[in-house]
Amino acid sequence: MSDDNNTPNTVTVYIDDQPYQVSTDDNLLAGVLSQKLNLPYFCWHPSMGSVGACRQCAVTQYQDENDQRGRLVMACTTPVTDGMRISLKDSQSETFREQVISAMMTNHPHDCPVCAEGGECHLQDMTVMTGHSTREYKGDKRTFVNQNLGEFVGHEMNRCITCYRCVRYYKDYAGGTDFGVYGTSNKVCFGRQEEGQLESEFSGNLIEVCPTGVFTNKLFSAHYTRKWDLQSAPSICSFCSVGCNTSVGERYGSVRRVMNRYNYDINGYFLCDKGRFGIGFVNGLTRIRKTKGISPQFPNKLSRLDVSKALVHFKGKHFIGVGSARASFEANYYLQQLVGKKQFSLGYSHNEMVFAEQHQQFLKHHKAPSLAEIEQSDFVLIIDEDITQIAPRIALSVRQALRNASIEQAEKLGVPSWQDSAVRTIGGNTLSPLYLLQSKATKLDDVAEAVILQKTQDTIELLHLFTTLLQNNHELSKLSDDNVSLLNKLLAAKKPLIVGGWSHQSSALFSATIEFIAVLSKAKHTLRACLLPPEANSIGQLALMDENSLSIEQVLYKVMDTEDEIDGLILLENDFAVLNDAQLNCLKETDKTIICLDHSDNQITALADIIFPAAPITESDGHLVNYQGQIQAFYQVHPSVLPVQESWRWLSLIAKAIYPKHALAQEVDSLAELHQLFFQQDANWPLNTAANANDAKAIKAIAREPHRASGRTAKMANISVHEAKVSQSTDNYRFSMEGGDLNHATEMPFTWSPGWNSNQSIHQFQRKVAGQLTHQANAQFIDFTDIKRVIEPRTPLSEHQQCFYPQIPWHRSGLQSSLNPEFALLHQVNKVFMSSTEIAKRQLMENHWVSLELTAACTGEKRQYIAQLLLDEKLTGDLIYGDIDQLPDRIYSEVSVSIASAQQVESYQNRCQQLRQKANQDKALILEKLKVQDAYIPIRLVSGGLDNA
Amino acid sequence: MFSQLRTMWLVLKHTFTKADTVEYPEQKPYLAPRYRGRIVLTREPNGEERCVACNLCAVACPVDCIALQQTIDDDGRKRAEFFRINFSRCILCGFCEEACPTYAIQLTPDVELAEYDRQNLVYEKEHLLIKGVGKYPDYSFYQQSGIKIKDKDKGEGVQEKPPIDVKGLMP
Ligand code: SF4
Ligand code: SF4
Ligand code: SF4
Ligand code: SF4
Ligand code: FES
Repeated sequence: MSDDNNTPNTVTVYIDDQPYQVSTDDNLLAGVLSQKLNLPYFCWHPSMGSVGACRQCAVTQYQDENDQRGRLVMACTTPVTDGMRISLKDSQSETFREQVISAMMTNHPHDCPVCAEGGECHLQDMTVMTGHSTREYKGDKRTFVNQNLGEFVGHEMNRCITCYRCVRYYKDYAGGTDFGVYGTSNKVCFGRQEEGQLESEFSGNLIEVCPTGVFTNKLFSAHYTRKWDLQSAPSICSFCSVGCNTSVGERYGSVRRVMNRYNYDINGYFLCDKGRFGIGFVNGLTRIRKTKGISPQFPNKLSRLDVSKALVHFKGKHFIGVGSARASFEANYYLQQLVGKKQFSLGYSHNEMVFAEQHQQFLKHHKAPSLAEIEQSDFVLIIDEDITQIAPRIALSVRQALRNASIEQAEKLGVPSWQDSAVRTIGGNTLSPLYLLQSKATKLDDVAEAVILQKTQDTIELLHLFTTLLQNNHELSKLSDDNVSLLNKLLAAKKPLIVGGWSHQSSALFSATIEFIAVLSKAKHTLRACLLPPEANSIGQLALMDENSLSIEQVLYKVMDTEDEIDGLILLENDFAVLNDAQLNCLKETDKTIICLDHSDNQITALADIIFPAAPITESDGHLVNYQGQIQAFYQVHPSVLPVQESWRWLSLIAKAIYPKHALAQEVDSLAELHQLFFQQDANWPLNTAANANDAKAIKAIAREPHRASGRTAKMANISVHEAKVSQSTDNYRFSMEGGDLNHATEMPFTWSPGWNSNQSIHQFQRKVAGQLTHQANAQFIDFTDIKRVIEPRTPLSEHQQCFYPQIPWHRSGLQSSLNPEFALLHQVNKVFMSSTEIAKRQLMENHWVSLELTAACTGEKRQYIAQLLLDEKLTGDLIYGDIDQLPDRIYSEVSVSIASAQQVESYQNRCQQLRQKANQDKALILEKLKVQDAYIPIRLVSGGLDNA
Repeated sequence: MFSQLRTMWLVLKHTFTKADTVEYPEQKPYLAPRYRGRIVLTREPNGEERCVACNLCAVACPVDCIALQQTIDDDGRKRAEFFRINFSRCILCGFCEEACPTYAIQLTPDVELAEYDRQNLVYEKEHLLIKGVGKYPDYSFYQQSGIKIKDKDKGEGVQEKPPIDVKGLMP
């Protein structure tokens, strides 16, 4: 991918005798599309370059003005040269393109009506574009047997046009190993060697990469609707700190799917499976849809008055507010202001606060690179972080960065980077160096130059050693070969990248990493570094943190303390996953009031005295702050069904009842009003709404529905034949098919342009293919250098010697993941890995079932698990790691392993079986519920808060 | 003068011609089978529902009076979970019938759509679905399509070769 949008490498190209300024950085096809001209293609992909496999992009090239005959060339494999003359409209290339489609159609099934791709199918679009209207072939069609590819991706092989995009994406781009192309001649088949769950964390992108309906979204197909009927809103993935931009679609009041929303700097064309398939949590069985502890005057119609009546006796009482990194930036700020900074907790444990404080300091000096920048690195060092699980999309970018070595090689030979197959042939297996310092095996091991598998303690020592070496230029004699070459390559690299994070839970390692980066960045100015926090809004939390912020332990202490005049807790979308059993019991016993705002049932809502049903991300307006500190907006996909409403709306009601004198105790009807209020009270409030409001006026509100959405006069007719007015929204997008030009939206709810119904239409909205969006809003960052005060860091708890390192896969982290039954089905079997010496020492046997007893370091809690014992040949010493279902993410200081009895194994297998059954039942139940709901659409006139219905 | 006499003559002459209008409702006019009246959902010759819930009729409808939701049944067939036409909005243009790829939705010569209560003009699938094939006796979409349903495996459709053996080496 070319890195720069404004390079002036443009030359004049005559297309049908019209001069155009076309960039020479990319191929002719990209050049033509960048001019917003229509030229059909299949196998080329803006992120994956050209291979010239489909022959669809043929154009006629002429020698000069006098050349009448010209010759056919494939635009995607032709470089752009100055003064070149081509034609798209001449009959020779037109006929050729039409005949290519005709050939593809010989075997294509008569499936469009039952094909989930229909209405957003690139093949349909291209067929129409070439004017091929009737099938010419009358013979028998080739057929295939489909495979079951697991929970997420459907397979309908008959529809394949053999463009090879899928396999190029899955294997070459995403580094997957369990997918390929099989068979010969006209009978090639794309899939797995044998049926089964696709193993890649990025498998969902096949759905968008494949130009036909071979790969479709299974979860979407189960509760399907056409793209033209989806009401969509621009949103942000709430599953990790990357903050990928998504477009979420709904119909009849329930969320149907997530698609990628192009953002040049962040996710580009791809999402990870968690972001794409995890959205089902908003339709989960445990959604909270009613208040608790409040008795409305009229049943089924909660009013603002009811809420203030219920809260009035708390007026003037002291509450501690606990925010969370899954709640919006606004809601956290609001709560902090209401309860006061001294009574506010970010929702972090003591240990996490140590991280948070150091991270806040770190961000003052180091700006984290965007994903586009990460992809330019030529050296990557990852410090004890399994980024494929923690921030999957970054791992995909790291994989692209590793290709830079072969791209450079090819460029030396004069082969441009978009010549994908040529570059891969020249590059062979050459990869830029990736070094992994880690305590457990990860998915990136296969592309790493060296995997240094060691305990956290050893990594800390190594980093200290590196740091001293850099400071004093000592000899490298103390280092092993791998470590010497690591350091040498790091220093030799032009654009090195270091990635670290919070998940190892060792504050000593975290500070060692920061120190190393600090020292190194003095020696190496091009160094880029990012530390990955755990959740979607973690960095937003850091912006609110100051020396008064309470840790969870402090909160509990205050709640328990009879001297302290605390009357209760207000929990903002925090399920207190960090609490251990003992702490949870404390909370159970307290007589203090617990007020919860959340969207789904959890261990804390079970204890709550008052529950306010909060809207999840798809029903809210708000902002999240990603790992770089970039503030990104998300919008309601559909109005929430009252009494469910956004947390910040609840907080404004709470403010009026409990803190009536507070300056923020005001009625707010929209997010813009809320920002205005914040800005009036606090000049440092980073979202400058005055500027935004002006922008908003300049742009007519954008429609959330495509202009040909159907069923307007019928979808609610069973409730009343008199059509309800469309809901009025309180933001810049309308719940309607009428609105401003999509082309002017800074954040597009969906992409569509005439002739381009699929997501590939995005090139009509880019300055140039694979470049910035034409109307990209200026990215807004939290400026940490503004935060002048230095927090006196709290002393870390004494570090525990860790002896079991849990692998936490992406589908098993946090409350929102656990609400997806499909995710629960991904877990295969518990596994624990040891070195051969360790297995021998403990007198165990590899591939046998073992019983594992783990002791949590801080509390001494013991838990027992059954797992399969496996040998990791790379392991040395007594390091043990493993993937254990339902294992809390703690530090384990003791582990005892023994051979499991047959009975134990059987009961474990039964339990697994039950869990799978339960997940499958839940899946069916959710679908059943959604279908019932479809027929009764809740009518709302205003998407605002209570009393606005 | 002459033209006035001629006009009177013509008017008088019409007194003796047969009237084009009929005494509706006592007397019903003849409406051709392709007349565009009340809409029905038809079935395949074997009695299965034809509609695959593809949404094409709904999107073709200029007054947006068709709404439906797709579901996939255990037999592999896609059907409408609900299918609703708001006849108080329908203009009987027949676009839905033209758009329908399965011949499921058809207009019939029944034009007597009058109700005292507009709400009664909202027809659900149970009101729309008829027992027969309508104007197209033979068509069965699933036999033409490539997807697998109960009793029709891959390669058993019309104009289909048996499924490919991926492991085969023959060219
Ligand atoms: S892949 Fe496209 S053209 Fe083929 S059946 Fe599906 S929608 Fe139709
Ligand atoms: S499965 Fe899709 S992406 Fe793969 S070759 Fe076939 S049409 Fe192309
Ligand atoms: S990488 Fe993170 S933000 Fe992006 S889609 Fe995956 S979980 Fe969501
Ligand atoms: S167009 Fe035909 S098959 Fe499609 S939804 Fe309408 S009636 Fe059903
Ligand atoms: S897009 Fe050019 S040959 Fe396929």
